[in-house]
Amino acid sequence: MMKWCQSIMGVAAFVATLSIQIETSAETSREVAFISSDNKIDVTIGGVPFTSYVYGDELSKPFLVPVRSPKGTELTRRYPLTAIPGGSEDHLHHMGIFFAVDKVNGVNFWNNTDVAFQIKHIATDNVSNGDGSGSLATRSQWIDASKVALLEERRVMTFSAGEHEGEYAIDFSIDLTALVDQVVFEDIEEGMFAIRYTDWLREPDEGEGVRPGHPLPKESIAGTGRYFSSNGDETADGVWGKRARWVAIQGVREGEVVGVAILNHPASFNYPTYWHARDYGLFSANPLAQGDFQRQDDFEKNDPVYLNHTLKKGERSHFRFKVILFDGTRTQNQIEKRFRNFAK
Amino acid sequence: MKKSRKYILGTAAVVALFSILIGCSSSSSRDVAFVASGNRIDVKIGGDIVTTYVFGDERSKPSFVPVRSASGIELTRRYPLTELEGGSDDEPHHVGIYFAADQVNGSKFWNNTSVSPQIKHVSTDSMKGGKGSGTLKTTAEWINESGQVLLIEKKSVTFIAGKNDSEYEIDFDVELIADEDVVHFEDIEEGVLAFRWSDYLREAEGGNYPQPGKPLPEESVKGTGMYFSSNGDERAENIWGKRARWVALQGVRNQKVVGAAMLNHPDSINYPTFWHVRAYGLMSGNPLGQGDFLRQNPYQKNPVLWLRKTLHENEKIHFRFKIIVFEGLKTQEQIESKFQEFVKSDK
Repeated sequence: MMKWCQSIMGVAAFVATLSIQIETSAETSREVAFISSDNKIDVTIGGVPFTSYVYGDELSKPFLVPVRSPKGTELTRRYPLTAIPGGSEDHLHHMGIFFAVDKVNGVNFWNNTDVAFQIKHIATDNVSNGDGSGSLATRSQWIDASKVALLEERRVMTFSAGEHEGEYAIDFSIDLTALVDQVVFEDIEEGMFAIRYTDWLREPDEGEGVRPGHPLPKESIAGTGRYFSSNGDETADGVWGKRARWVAIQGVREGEVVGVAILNHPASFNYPTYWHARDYGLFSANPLAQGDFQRQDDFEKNDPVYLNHTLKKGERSHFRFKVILFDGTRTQNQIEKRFRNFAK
Repeated sequence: MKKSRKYILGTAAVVALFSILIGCSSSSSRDVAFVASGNRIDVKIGGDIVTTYVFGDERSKPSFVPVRSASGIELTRRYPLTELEGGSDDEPHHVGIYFAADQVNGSKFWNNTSVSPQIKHVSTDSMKGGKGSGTLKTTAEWINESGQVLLIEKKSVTFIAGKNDSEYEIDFDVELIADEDVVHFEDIEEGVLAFRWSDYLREAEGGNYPQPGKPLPEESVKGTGMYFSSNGDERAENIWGKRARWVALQGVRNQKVVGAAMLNHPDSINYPTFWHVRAYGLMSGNPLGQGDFLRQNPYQKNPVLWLRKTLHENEKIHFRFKIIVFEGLKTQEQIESKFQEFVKSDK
């Protein structure tokens, strides 16, 4: 726990440094660059910090944190890196953008802040800077409490800017390969491809949050966010536990609308994914928990169809998501167009 | 003479006014009635036969055929019941609206025109007409080539006269109950709730289909239909093999836009269903064919995720779809709002 705290403090210090850099650099180019240092890789766009990939022996899993909009607004929650007055302190295991799931051969890789079992970064396989787009390829292992590696995770993250004004995007292509005779994923809602967004984007208890064509709600750390999905559903209540091709949330921060969209690619496992999207700040896609979502839905005419997805040694599953970080209000049609381009 | 003529004209005006009033107010109060005779049950809305449920020992499965729009335009193919010049003569097992699947314990109940195997109507359990809606309840047995009953099918079909005179709805609630130790559904595209379109409504080539703000295309037995789905996809080739909450088609017949939308209810097995939708005239929702659809899609990054639905004796699965038969051009938003109403409706 001590080591984990130290590591977190390091990240917090880095966050502070980045904040200073943002104020001083001019946005002139779209060059995507990676700067590697001890247990983190900073991602800059046009020389300005966008996000950092952080990992290490002390972290339960790798994270991208913080994640910013093109204008530099932080879209991920600071806690537990930094506590802020009025901020949420629930779910310590939710940080930045992360990829994990409960339970894999009984191990809770998601609901975990410990390193007794761990999703451990093993290697950075490729780093490619580029104009408008750059990619980072990493390898991790999902290791159980007996130090047996159950899964190998190969991940390619492509960071892009400039495809659309006011939008940055990260395309995640992830393969999980079984390293042991049998790997069983239980159908559990706790997963899988997630962002823990800033408290300012939470869905408010009162008021409707940001809606295109309506006056902006007053900014608040209690939240002004509102989800919308490819099904035309709105709010966490409407989105949670259903399949959808994409889900987005937008709210007010620093006087302007900012938001996040997650698109699921048709090549991805059990597409279109189910969504574990909560009003308190967790926004997650989970294609593995089919049975757990069906068990909890309002429609009980059929028994849940459990997946209990199982991989034999050497078999793999492919997951693909695109995250769009945006400044300015987005409509259903705009995100739908982004999805169509992504699916091509 | 002059006086009496005036009187008659006055009466005519009153009658006309009355007709208009009736026309306006009758919408939700049109009677739904069932008339049974031999191996058929006519379904009447406002006195007109909109469809007929046909069954019998010599039929491979029951069908609703023909299916007519509210003003009487036939939407389903006549073949193989009647041949039509220039019409299609493929897949004689596609008749009207029907419910079937390949393969159940190896028997092809869908791709079948024989009576062995057979989906055999065994009883009409209830026929309840009424103002605005009426329900027909039937029991059928899915019998294999050896005469064994694999499944009991309990179907509750509710006809809803609709909020206006240009449309009506058919709500299908179907339960399949295993009557054998193990009943196994293979993942095969051939299934389950199907609508075989009139050749006139086959998918149009090019742009010869009804579009908002454009003149109606010229009617043709080659088809003026166009599919569209809840995903915002158009054309059979873009809808086929995907999951969607609903699919619709509209085309031109008798100088009118006519069509039907098929909505899948979230209560239904493996919702939202995959779609087996073909340009030549088949529109079918198939939640059981999952692996077969995934096997054929252009994305092959994952091994096929087979469903292989299996029921043990007395276990059941539930299917629920609504078919809306309409006249007049419909938009994506209009069908979507019908879908949202359907989800909220309880049964």
